[in-house]
Amino acid sequence: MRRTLRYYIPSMFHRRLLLLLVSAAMVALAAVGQAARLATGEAHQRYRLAAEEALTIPHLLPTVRGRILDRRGRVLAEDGLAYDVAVHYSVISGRWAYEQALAAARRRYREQWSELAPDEREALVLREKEPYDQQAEMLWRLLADLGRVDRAEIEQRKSQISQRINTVSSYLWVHWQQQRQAQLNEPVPLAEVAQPIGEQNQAHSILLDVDDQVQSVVRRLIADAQRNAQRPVQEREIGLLVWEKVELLRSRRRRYPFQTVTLMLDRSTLPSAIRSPEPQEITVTQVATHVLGRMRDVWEEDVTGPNGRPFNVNRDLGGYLPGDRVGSFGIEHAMESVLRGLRGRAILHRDTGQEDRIEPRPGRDVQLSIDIQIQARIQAILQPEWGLTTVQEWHGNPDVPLGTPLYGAAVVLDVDSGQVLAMVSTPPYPEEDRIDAAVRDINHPLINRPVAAVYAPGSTLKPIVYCLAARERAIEVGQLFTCNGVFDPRHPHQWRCWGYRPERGLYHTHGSIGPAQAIATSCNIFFYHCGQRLGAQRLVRGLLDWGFGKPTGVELPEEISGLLPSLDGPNPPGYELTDSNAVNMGIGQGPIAVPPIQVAAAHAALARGGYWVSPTLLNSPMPTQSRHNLHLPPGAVEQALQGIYESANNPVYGTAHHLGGREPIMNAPGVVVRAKTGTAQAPVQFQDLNDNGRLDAEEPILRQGSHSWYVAHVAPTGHDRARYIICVLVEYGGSGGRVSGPIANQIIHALKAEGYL
Amino acid sequence: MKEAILAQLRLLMRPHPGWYGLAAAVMLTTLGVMAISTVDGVLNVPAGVALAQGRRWLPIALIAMSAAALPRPRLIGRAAWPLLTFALLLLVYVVIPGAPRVPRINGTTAWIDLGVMNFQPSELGKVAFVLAMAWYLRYRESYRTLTGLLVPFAIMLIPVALILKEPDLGQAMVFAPTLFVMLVAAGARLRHIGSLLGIGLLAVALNVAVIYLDPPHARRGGAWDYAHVLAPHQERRVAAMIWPDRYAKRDAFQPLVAQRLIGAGGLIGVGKERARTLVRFNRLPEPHNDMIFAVIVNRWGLLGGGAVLGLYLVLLSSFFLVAARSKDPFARLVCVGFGGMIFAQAMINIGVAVGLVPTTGITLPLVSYGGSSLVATFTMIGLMLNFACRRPVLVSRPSFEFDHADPAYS
Repeated sequence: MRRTLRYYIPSMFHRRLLLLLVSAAMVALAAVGQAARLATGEAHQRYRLAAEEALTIPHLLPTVRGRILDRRGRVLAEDGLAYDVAVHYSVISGRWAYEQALAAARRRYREQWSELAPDEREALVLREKEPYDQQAEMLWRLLADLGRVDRAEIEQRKSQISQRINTVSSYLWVHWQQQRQAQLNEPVPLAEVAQPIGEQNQAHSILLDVDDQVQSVVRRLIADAQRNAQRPVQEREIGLLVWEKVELLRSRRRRYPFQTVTLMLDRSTLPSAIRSPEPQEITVTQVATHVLGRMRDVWEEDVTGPNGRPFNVNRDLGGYLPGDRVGSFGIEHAMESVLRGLRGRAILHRDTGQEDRIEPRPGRDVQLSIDIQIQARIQAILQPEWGLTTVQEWHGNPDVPLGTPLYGAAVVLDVDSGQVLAMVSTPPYPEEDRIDAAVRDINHPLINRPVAAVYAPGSTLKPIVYCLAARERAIEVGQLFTCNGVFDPRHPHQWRCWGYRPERGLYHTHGSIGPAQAIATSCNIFFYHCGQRLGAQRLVRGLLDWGFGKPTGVELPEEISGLLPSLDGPNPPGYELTDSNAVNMGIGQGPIAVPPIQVAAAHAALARGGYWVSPTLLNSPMPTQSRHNLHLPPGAVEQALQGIYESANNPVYGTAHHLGGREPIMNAPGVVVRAKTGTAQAPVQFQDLNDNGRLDAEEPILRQGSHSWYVAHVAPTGHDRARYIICVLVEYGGSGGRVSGPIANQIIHALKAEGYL
Repeated sequence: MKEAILAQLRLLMRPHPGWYGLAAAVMLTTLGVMAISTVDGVLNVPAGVALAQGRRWLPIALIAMSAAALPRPRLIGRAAWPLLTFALLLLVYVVIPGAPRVPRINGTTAWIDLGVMNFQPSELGKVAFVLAMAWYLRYRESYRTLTGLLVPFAIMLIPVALILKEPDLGQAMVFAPTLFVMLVAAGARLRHIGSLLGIGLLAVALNVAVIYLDPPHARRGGAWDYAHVLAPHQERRVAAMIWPDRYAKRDAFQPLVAQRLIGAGGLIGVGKERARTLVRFNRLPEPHNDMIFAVIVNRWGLLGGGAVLGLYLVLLSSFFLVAARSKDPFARLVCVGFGGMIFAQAMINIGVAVGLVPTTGITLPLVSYGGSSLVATFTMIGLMLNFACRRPVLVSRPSFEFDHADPAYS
């Protein structure tokens, strides 16, 4: 080859030139090859799309979250238009003053700047910074004045924003780091992904929801600042510079119009001890907050979690983006997908100026079965200042000092539909700024007691246990048992009737007693027998059938199942499927603890004659309720209803009839009330100083005694079948009839006042 | 004098391979003006640059070319060393901190403000370097030994060091390939050149390995710190080639956008208006300058890109043919050097655009916008035309023939 070459090209210089030319051609070929690789086939398509993507600017168009209405169409939650005064993050973080000073220093020392050492530059910048710091400070003071808040409050708001951004950014960074690591399959240092996040380039609300006057002041200053910015740098007014970084943000804020309700309530129907002819004005706050829920900022889980809904401009415009608001709990959370709506999208073609639009789809409204007036009234009734939920003389509660506030829950169920008319939990949900403190509050104001706290149902379970025993033919429908105070003579102290306390000189027994009277007098012995004859297996199975020990399906995500022994799994100590547990469960004690909604739903099933329907908070969209027949013998239902009728109406032995001193509990005219009380042993609440879960000698007892239940079946006079179930529970209240009874009575008055009875 | 000039002009008019080169150069410049007009006024490209390139710089460059075509080669050769010295002095001047009339543009002090234009001494340096090197090498044989190669390299290092000080890595990078091309043509032993190239490649490979094993985004510190020779921003640019996604928003932005636009151009391109829009909204940095090749391929597609490369090959072969026909060793080496320099610069620029070479700020000769560069390149072409039209000296010792295959040369 070489020889041939030398033969044809004898000159070495020429051969070298040829060598160089061939090398050059190869280099050129490599370049063409690479260009061809990019510009042909699939790569060409990919690059073409990528290049064209840069021609468009997608905008998202905000949607409006659906409203939440009460059953009468009153708006309980809606997105309202608000204006916030927002300040750019650079001013909040102090970066703005530094950058301004840097620019000023560069202007002033333009000639020398490139030659200065970094620390000399820094010193010059710091020298220039003072006036900008002052401007920022004046801005904060003016905002404090405009917003009529303390300067310190502005500072607190700023630090909250900084904190939030720090949290979000560190969270995002770790997320990006993980993503990148997964992508590259190698460790990636955090510093590499620690880019500024969007929020660091945005204005953040300092004054929320400002009125028209503040808006006009702020608008004027912003306009002045914009004019100022048009002038040459030297002529700019330094005092207006910072206002370039202020915005009036149009935001949508969730409003809850019935959050605070003022009511004028009649005191003339209260127990005589606190009765008054004068009505009382009472203001309740956070009405129905436990039910409605609240909004929060979107979390990472909402976006990428197992049930996350990531935003995707092509697939899901409703998906979550950082900074979105999302239902935190209650209906706002449960009905998120209905309420949320879909964003719109507009794509601006930058080259042609055309815009493709997909209009936003507003969220749908949710109508609740709640009547907000009833809800507010019940909340007022449960408020300690009204008098029924502070420990009173007539309560006869030896465990808690007089005047102590009591907390609890009340549920009003519509028997026909299973709809919840009111669901109240006290103490009410805390105000926004007190939530952190509420987490540690021993009264647990964050918990929605009707669905998310468990209590032994006590005697309220007795009619149900009887019906179960009769259904299972464990007893006859009209079975008689003899109550001589003690269930099992071998254990005279273990299972006794409530009136039989020889150590206190009480020897009350019921003798031979049938179901209706047993329910009316709440005789323990009768139901011990029922429990024993049913046995634990059948009893638990029956209770599950009645909706105990599992979520009822009411639309609140907070709902818990309650506690019952498991039929198939191993049970923890105390929850075994033993006969003694069956006996205890016969009177609603022992291994059973349920949220009040289950008790209300069970009594509603009884009121329907043995047909269980899952309770619901929804009117529309149409709720999906489960329902099933309990197949109770008609005679048993009759006996049970007769028993609770007598319990409420028999002045001699009805346990739900009178307060101490024979004062009737119920005093609403025009209604028929059946009722069952319950006084359920409650666990001692103590301060667990050493965190061992047990009460030790030196640890202070916070609460003890019994939970007080009162379940009323109410119908207007002339109606046989109950229209509403009212279930009241007062934690550590003591006697069911004396404490919860008057509350149920007031709820009946409230229902009458609002036209429901 | 007048007679002499006219005689020279008559000589110039004779047909010779230099004309292909000039034609290719004018076509490249025209293509460049059209490409620049695509992005005229887009992003940070000042409006009217295409017009300036076509109506101001091209005539000036052609005048410079004509002027360069006139003097006798010997005169040019004699002026080579003084010219290089002058260029070096100017290069020293621009790197003196705070020297008057030296503006700092993009962090580089590479220009001298002449009032009417910004003059880039490194362009003069490039021309002068080739001339001086050719003058130095023309009768020697010393470079046939390994030690003899040291002197040319030492000479090269002076302008390179000064240009690196500006700093302008792109300009400095074309010196080494130019010298290599000249040495190969002059007959340096290929094994020496190969060894040097091998050492160079090894150095590149070592640097890349260091960057790969201890990347700028995850420096381990300790002993590794001693392994890094390149400046941090240079390392990042190499790393940007290895991990383009990771550096997509920083060092890889420019090459990634360029590749996107090249890819989007397809076979026949997207046309002027569309290309303008795409360049604008994809925010291609330096579209009239370092990244003009991406604009060309985007507008005229692969065909346009191929044409540009073809024209460079034509230009290079024209320089080589002139060298081949010439008997004057000085003219031979100058032509080879200029051709190699223009081609090397073009390939580095295109290599950056298509993603084969790390980002370096270097223009595409004749095509990119820039007065100094255009004037310098056309000066090279003028000199080439000058040499092309000289009648070969009838009796002359053949130069650079160390491998006597033909008895005619021995």
